[in-house]
Parts: sequence; C-alpha cells; structure tokens
Amino acid sequence: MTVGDAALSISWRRAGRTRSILIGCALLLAAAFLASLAIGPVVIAPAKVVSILWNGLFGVRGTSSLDLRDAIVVLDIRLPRTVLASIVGASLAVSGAILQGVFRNPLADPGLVGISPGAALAAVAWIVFGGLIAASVPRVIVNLALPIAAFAGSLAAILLLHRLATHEGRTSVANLLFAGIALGALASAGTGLIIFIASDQQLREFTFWTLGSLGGSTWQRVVLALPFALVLFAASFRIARELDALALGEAEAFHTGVNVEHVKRIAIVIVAAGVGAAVAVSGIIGFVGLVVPHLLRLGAGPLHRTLIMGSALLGAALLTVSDIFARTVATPAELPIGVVTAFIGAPFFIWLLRRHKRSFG
Amino acid sequence: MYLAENIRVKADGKAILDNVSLSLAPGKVVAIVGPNGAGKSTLMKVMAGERRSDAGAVTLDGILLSNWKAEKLSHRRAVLPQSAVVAFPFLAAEIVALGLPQYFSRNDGRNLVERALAAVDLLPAREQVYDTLSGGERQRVQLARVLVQLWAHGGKGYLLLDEPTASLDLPHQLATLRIAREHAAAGGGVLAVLHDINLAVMAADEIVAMREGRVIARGAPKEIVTDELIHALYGVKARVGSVPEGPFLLPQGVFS
Repeated sequence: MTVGDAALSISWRRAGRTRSILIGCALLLAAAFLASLAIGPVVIAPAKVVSILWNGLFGVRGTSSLDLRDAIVVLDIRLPRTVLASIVGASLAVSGAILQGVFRNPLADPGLVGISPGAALAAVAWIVFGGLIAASVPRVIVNLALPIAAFAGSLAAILLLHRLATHEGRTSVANLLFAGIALGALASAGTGLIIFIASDQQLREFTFWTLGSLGGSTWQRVVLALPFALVLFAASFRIARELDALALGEAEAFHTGVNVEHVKRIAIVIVAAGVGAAVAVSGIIGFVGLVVPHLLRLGAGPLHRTLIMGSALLGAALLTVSDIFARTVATPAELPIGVVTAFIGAPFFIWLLRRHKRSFG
Repeated sequence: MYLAENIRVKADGKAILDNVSLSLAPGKVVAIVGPNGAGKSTLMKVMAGERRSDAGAVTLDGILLSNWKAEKLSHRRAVLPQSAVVAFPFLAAEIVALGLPQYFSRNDGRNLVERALAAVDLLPAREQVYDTLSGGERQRVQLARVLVQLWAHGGKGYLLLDEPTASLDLPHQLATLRIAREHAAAGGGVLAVLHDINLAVMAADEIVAMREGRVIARGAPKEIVTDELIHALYGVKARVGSVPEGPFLLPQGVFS
C-alpha cells in the first residue's frame, strides 16, 4: 500500500500552507529540544550544547572538569529526558489523532476517554501483583513487562470503550464521553486502591500515575518506549488514507473500498501500543492528544497523512516545552508534567466546547 | 450485470424486504419508486454490500457480493448516500478526492476531481469547507465523489444513488439525472431511488415500484405508470396524463 499523492492536498492553496506548517512544527521541535538540553539548574549555552552533542557522537567528553560536568548534564541527564519527552509527546498526539479519526470525533483524547487510566491501572497492577507472582524473575524482565502490561491495559480500555460507545456502527459523542469518563474514573480508583494497599518499593507515588512525570528518565526507559512508538508511527501512515475515508462514515468508507473492520483493528492496537508505552514510562499526561491534533486540523487541514506527521512533531515539541516548565518553575522541586499540560489543555478544551456548541449537541 | 435475486430482509420479526429481485444492466437507468418505508433504502444497502440479506443473493459480474473485497468492489460500484455528515473540516475537493484510488498521481487525480466538480456545477466551490456548503451543494459534492470513484476505473461501473435529487433545486435535479443518463450512455449502469415520479419517468429505462417490502410493478415508464399504480403505491388519487409528451403526474389531493 502506498500513500497516494492525489488525495494529499488536492488544493494548492492548502498544500502550500500545510508544508509551511509542517516545517514550522519541525523547527519548533528542534528549538524546544535544544532549549530542553540547555535549560536547568545549570544553564548551558546552546552553542555549547550543540558541540557537546557533536563530540558525544564520537565518545569525546572534553578535558577540563567544567567541560566534563556539562557533558554529563547534557548527555546523561537532560538528553534521555528530552528524548523521552519527545517520544511520549509524539505518541500521545498521534494516538489522539488516530482515535479521533476512528471515532469521528475531535474530543477523543486518550486521557479523557479512559484509555490512559486503563494503561496506568494495568501497569500498577503488574508492578504489585506481577512482582508477587514472579519475585524470582530478573528485574530486566519485570521492566520489559511493564510497557506490555500497560499496552494490555490500554487495549482492554479501548475495546471496552468501543463496545460501550458504539451502537449499530454509530458512536454518539455523549456515549463516548460518558463511557470514557466512567472507565477513567473506575481505572483511577483501581490504581489508587492498589497504591494504597501496596508498599512496593518499585511503585511510585499516586501523582506519578495520575499526573505524570518525566523525572528520573533514563536511556533504559527510552529503549522500553521506543519500539511501541515506532510501531505506532509506522502503522499510522499506512492507515492515513483509510482514516480520511472514515470521516465520511463507516458505511461510506466501505463504499469507497475501505475494509473498515481491518482499519479499526489496526488503529485500536497501535493506539493501545502508543498510549501504553507512554503511560508506562511517564504516567498519565493529559490533553496532549486533544490539543495537538485539533490545532493542526485548524491550520493544516484534516487529511490524516499531514495530521499524523504534524501531530508527531508538535506533540513532541509541546511535551518537551511542558517538561522544561515542570522542572524549572519550582526548582528544586518538580511539578507533575500533567499539571502543566492541563493548564494549557483545559482552557483549550473549554474553548473547543464553546466553539462546537452546536455540532456536539 | 448486477443481480439481486429473491432478497429477503427481516428486522424484529417483520419482513422489510420480501422476495425482491432486481437486475441492473450496463447502459440502463433503473429507478426505484415507492412510499416511505417501502424498503427502498434497505434494498440499496443490500445491493451496495453494506447489509446482508437473510435470504437470496446479490451478484456482480457473476460473483457473489460477499466474495468481493471491499477495494475491488469499489472499482465496480459506487454509492451515493442519502445524507452524509463529514466529521472534520475537509474541503469540497478533498471530499471528491476520497473517491480516487491511492496509486493515482496527483495530476491525474486533480483532473478527474475538477472534471467531476464541473459536472455537478461546483468547480468554484472546490476550496470551500464541505460543512459550510448548503445541503444541496453537499449532495452534489458527494455525487462528484462517487463519479470520480467510477471514472478512475474506466467509468463503466454501477452507480447506486439513494435519493440523489432529494435536496436539490429543479435545475440541479435535472442536471443530476442528466449525469445519470450520461453515465448509462457511457456504458455504466444506474440504480436510483427517486421520489418524484415525473423525474423517474424522464430518466429511467425501467421503473421498479415498491410497497411494503415487495415489488408490485416493474417495466418501462410509459407502460407501468398509470392512475392505478399511483393509487396502489401511495393511496393518492391522481391522473396520469401525457401532455405534451411522456406521462406526467398531476396530484389532486390526498385520499385514503
């Protein structure tokens, strides 16, 4: 299957604007990435960051103790965290875009409709009960199983959501949100209960799972999340055209030649993978999957190929910037990153509701 | 050939379609007429492959519809929905382009899309957001989309049109029927649900009259459209005349 050029930007006017917006998103991500490496308790000049990165590629870390310190700060502390922020941000935004395409609704955000809470519940349950079952299992395997457990949790949540919200092939907004809110509340309650009764060392505090954090990011976590994110990105481009057709309705998409059930199955699995991996390494971070795709639709149009590309870039940039705020606003303490994204996302959500008042009725 | 044989569809124990057969040949326009609830749209859904029948079979080119892959089927038949709500702010031209296959080059695609938009008299609206168009304009954009879908594969497939003229003004009703005739003239087949008997008489080679899930009459318009048929179909007293040429209908009030 190739992605056809004909469907992409049949309009020249929009094609030009779409290209500029994608380039803009890429530049924004580059700037956010650099800023995230430069800003912190020790501020390092961007030029120096670039040279540390360049030298780091060849394993060179400088000679003076000051150079060495900066290299450690950039390469060992900030780089894994920034990379993880990008992966998580991109995964959440792309998951949101795909979910919205499948449910034909711009309000379907992984956090809002209970998918991220489902992943968190499964992750917490694995840490507590999985450890009980297999106390002798090496730590590496336990860690590997964490994103898989989160994946299973988000998959279960999406399947439940789909079943609860869809009636005779139609998904009503009210059903989607009610079912999602109920699922999310139930999963969060379960998570809270498990954390309350467990005293596991591995288990982080409740705020990590409910509001998210990129604190303590390591390369190990990057390696855990990356394969899931890559599956999400690679597969999402393959169903981009089908998601466009789905906007017409499921029956109409079938009429234009789309195997609807097949596309939905792929979408559900890859969204579960993306959200599961993101939650496993950084807890529940809300609103990214809501805000980013919507902004892109406003600017670059709803065609999913550009929407997915743009969501990956802008989602990564947004979460990287949010993380800079989260770790610098209250130094030496860290804000949960979900607090930052909620401050950006919640007002946006309200604006969105007001703007669509009639059509969401 | 597009054949439906002895189709039966039940819902809640009630027969929506009862032993309905239909054949659609290349070069022909067949119109389905009948009152609300006669099962016309259900028949369209069964013909489109969207809904399974409880009994009977639909075949296209001699192959059972359920054995067609969605993609191959879309090359041979296109379906105009009764009303289509589009989830996101697509432009009119982007909606039409959804009828194109994936492998089409951008230039070929643009040409087909513009030709189809011109055919439905909406070329100037191609960069407008679909949701901001009027009901009739949206219906014409959808018509352009299904035309593109068949044109991209030689233009000889079957068009299934569910009330294609429902929200159109008179000139665009006529233009839509002209498009249907042109499609048939080019070697395609057209099956259309029409509510306006006059339009059906003008456009169709064959009229299939349905009531309560059954076909009660079928044949050439001039032969079957009679006072008796109109009364049997709608319970409406009407007189079918042929002034100045071809039968037309003059409603004279509702009667039980």
